[in-house]
Amino acid sequence: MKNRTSPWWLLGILSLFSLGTVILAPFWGAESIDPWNAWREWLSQPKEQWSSDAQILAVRLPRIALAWLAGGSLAMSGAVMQTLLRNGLATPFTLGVSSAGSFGAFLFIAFPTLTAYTGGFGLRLGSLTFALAEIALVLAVAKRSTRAEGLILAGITFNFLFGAGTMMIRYLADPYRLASMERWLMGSLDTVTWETPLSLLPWLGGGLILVFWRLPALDFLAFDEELAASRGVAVASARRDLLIGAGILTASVVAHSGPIGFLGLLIPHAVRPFTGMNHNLLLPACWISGGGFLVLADLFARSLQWSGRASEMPVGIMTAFLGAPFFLWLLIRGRT
Amino acid sequence: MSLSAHRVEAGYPNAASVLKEVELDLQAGRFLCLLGPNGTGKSTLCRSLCGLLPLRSGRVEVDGQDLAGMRPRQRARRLGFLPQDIQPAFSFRVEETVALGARVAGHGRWFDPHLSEEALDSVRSALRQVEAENLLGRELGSLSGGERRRVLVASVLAQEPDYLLLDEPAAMLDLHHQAQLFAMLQRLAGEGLGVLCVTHDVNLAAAFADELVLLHGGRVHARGRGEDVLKEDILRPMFGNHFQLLPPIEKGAPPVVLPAQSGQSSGRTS
Repeated sequence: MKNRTSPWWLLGILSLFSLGTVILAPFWGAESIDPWNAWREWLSQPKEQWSSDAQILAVRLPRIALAWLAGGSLAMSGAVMQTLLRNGLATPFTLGVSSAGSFGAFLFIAFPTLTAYTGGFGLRLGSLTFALAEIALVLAVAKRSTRAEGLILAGITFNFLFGAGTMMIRYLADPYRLASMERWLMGSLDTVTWETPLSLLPWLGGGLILVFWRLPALDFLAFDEELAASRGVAVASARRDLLIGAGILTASVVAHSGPIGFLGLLIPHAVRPFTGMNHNLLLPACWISGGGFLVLADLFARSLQWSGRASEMPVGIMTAFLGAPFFLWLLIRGRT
Repeated sequence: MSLSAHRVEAGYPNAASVLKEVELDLQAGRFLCLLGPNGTGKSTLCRSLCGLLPLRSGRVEVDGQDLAGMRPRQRARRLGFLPQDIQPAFSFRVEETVALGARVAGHGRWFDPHLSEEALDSVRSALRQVEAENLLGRELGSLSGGERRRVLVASVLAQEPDYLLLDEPAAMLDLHHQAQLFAMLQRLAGEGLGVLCVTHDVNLAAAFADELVLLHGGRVHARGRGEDVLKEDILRPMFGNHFQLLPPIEKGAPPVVLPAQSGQSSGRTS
C-alpha cells in the first residue's frame, strides 16, 4: 500500500513555510530594513527610541498578522464549502457572502454621513451585518432542500441580488467615490495598527469553534450524505452549523480586508492530494498554507512599485497572478 | 435476535404513503432478498428499517428495542446500510472509504490526522471479508464496478453491524461479479449477520437467498423460498404478463423467471 505523506511531516513542512513567510516578510517591501536591528529595537526599546527600521517593522507586523489570519480563514472556509456543496468549484464566496459584504461596505462608502458617525468601524460592521444576514437568508431558503443543489441555487440567487444592489449603489453614487469602491473590491490588507487584526480575532474564533465542533461530520458528509445519516451523523444540523461557521470566517475577512479571491479555491485543491479526504488534517493544512500564501502574495503586492502609481498593488490581483499558474500546474499534473 | 417491522406505514413529504402496514422480520443469520416492481417501496422499506425515514405509523424493533428510541450512533452500530447510489464528491482511497465505517465501530478517533494501526487492522479485516485486501491504497474512482461495490460493502461491514441492509448492490455488475457478491452475502449470513438485499434479479435472489420477500403496492405480497413463491399466481399481480416462468434447471431448484418478449404472455412451468 502506497502511503500518503506522514501527516506530521506534512504539517511540519507547511508550518515551516508559513512561519518562514511571517518571519521574513516584514524585512522586504518598498523599503528593505535590517532584520536584526529592527527586531532587537522592536522587542527591547521603547517606541520613542526606535530607528526607522523598527518603525517600519511595527507598521508591517499588523498587516502580516492580518494577511495570515485572512489567508488561513479563506482557505479553510473554501475547503469546508467545497465539501458541503460537494463541488470542487465552490469557493468561500459561492453562496454570495462577498456580494452581500460588498453591498454593506458600499452603502457606507457611498453615503459618507453613515461613516461620519461610525468611522472605519462602521464600514466593517455594515459589511459584516449584510454578509451574515445573507448567510441566514440562504439557510432559510434552502432549509427544505435535502441536497447541496438547493443551497447553491439559493446562494447564486442572493449573489445576483446583492450584486445588482451593489451596481445600483455604484450607479447612484457620487462618481468621486467610485474609485474607493473599485479599490475595496480588489481586496486590501492596508493596515498600520493592531486594531484591525485584533478586531478580526473574535469573529474567527466564533467561526472556528463551529467548524471544529462539527469537524467529525465532514469526512462522512464528503463521502455520501445518505450514508452519513445511516452512520449516525445529524446531516441537516451539521451542514447548517458548518455553513454558519464557514460563513462567519468568510464574512469577517471580507469585512476587514475586502473580497480577496482565488485563495479559497486554490489552497484546498493544492493541499488535498497530500492530506486526502481526512478533514482533521486537511483543514489545519489549509489554514497554515493559506496564511503563508497570502503573506507571500501581500509581500509581492507591496514590493512592486509601478511607475505613475503612488499606491501599492491590490493583494487580490497578486493572489490570482501567483495562484493561477500554480493551479494550472496542478491541473496539468492531474493532482486535483 | 431480529430486525422487525410492525405495521409500518411510511412515505415522503407531501405524498401518499409508499409502505402500507408492512410486516417483516429479518433474523440474525438469515439472508433475505427484497424483490418487487419499480416504485413499490423497496428502498423506502430499507430507509425505514434503518431509521432514515420517519414512520407515519407502526414501529421498527432491533432485537425487541424500539428503533425510534435509539440514538443515531447506537443505531449505526447495529444496522449497516448501503444506499443504491453513492457518488463521493471527491476522490477517496479504499482505506479512507472503509475507515469511515470503522470509525462508527470505534476504531480510530475522530481527531486522528491519519489512520491509526487499530483503524487499519479493522479496515484490513473488513476488506478480507469481501476478498478485496489487494485494493488497499487504490483510489475508489479507479476501481471497476465490482471492486467498488465490494469496497463499499466492506465499508459497511467495518461498522461491525448485526444487520446489513443493501439497496441494489448488484446493479450494473456483470454476471460474475453479481454471483460473487451474492455468494459473499450468503457467507456473511452464515457467519451470523442478518442480511436484507434489494434486487431486481429474481433468479440470482432465488439461487442464493434463504428467502425471498416480494413487495407489491407497498405491502409484503409473499415470502418464502424461491420454489415456493416464484409461481404464476403470485407473480402475475406484481408483473402482469411481462414475465415467463420456465421450469427449474435441475430438480429441487427454483423455477427460472425471464422477462416476457413483446406481446407474449407468461408461460407456465411444466
